[in-house]
Amino acid sequence: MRVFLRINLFWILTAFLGDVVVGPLMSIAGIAPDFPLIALVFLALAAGSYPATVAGFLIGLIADLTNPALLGVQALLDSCLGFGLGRLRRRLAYGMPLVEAMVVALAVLAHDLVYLLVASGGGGDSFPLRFITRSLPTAIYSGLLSIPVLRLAVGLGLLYRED
Amino acid sequence: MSQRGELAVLVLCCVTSIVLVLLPDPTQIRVADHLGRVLTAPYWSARNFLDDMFFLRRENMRLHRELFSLDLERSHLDMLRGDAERAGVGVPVDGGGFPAPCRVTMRRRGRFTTMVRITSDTPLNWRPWLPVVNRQGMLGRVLTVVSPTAAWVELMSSPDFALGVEFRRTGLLGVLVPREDRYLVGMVGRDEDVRVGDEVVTSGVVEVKDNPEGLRRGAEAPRGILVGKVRAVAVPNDQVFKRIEIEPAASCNRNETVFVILPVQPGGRP
Repeated sequence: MRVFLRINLFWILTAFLGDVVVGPLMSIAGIAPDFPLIALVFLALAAGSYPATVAGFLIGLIADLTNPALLGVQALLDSCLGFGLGRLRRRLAYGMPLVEAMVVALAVLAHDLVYLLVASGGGGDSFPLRFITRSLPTAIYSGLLSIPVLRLAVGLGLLYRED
Repeated sequence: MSQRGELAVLVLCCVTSIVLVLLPDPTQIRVADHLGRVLTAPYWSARNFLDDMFFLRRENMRLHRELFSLDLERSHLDMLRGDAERAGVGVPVDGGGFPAPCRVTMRRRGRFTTMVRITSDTPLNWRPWLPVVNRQGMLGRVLTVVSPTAAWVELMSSPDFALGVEFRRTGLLGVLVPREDRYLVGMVGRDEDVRVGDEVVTSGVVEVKDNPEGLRRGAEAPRGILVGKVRAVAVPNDQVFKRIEIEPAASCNRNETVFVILPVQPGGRP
């Protein structure tokens, strides 16, 4: 239970602080890495479905607080993502940063696709433009950044503890 | 945990999320506000306090200087008013709006929304689309009213933002829109006179917005609020409009006091 709390708290804090402190500093042309989803992917890979679902719900809920009109949407999305990624855990080739970077990028794209569809009421005029100009670069940036984050997490012993 | 347990957790999270999604709008805003106080407010309080510590001394000096210049200006205006009354002519009144001071308590820069949460010490009669400024110039607009003392503000850098602007030197009108990390003024003809360094101010032209009740309401900003200065002007061969990039005058990178411009009623009260 203590390990569960420690790992969950670490990744939720990484998600929140990365989003509000580090993200704006690393922003390039308005595109910043999606720290909450990077944290969620690594938590799912480190600890499995159960902690990732709970953490996904909390991470999404915190993100929802700034847009009360869509309260619950990101909580729902991130819970499902956490669960799905946790299930993928045993099927991924470990120790291959490119695979994990790809998972992060795909998670960002999947999250944004559904979120934008909901936010625009089923896909308005601005949906494709936003997806291409905001989501795609964010997914690539997040995927690339996840490689050093992954190395750091492995170095700190926060990944592959049970493997 | 067993597979059944994991599924139960997923169902619980999904059901809770769906309940939150299905809440009526005012309840959603109230719930988000209460959750924010528990989940994120401690971090923002600590960060704001540290920001205050760092900048209070400099801010205090600036305020003293500003107070002094305002005193001078007031005494000058009193003299003008006296002159005007003696001459029997009216004194022009600026109907630009009543600035209500507020504090920035949270901020979030996302891919799709760039917002700050502001709070006022006194209850305000605010509504969506009221302009929000700081000493440097235009910052954004009220997006969601949380309570009479709190609201979320959409900053100018939000992808959906658009603002009617005017070039102070020539009176030309245009529309300001953010593009990635730049601000562009569109709808200015390729033959018009626009120079680097020209000041851009709000034009007072109302942008019509839909609100949640389905009513259309103007997103008005009083004319003359500084928005920025022209940084670059280009005339693309294949376009009928100039490409004008501006440097915004105001930013919300620091914790500071901002002002919501409330419309002035006929009696002179906000």
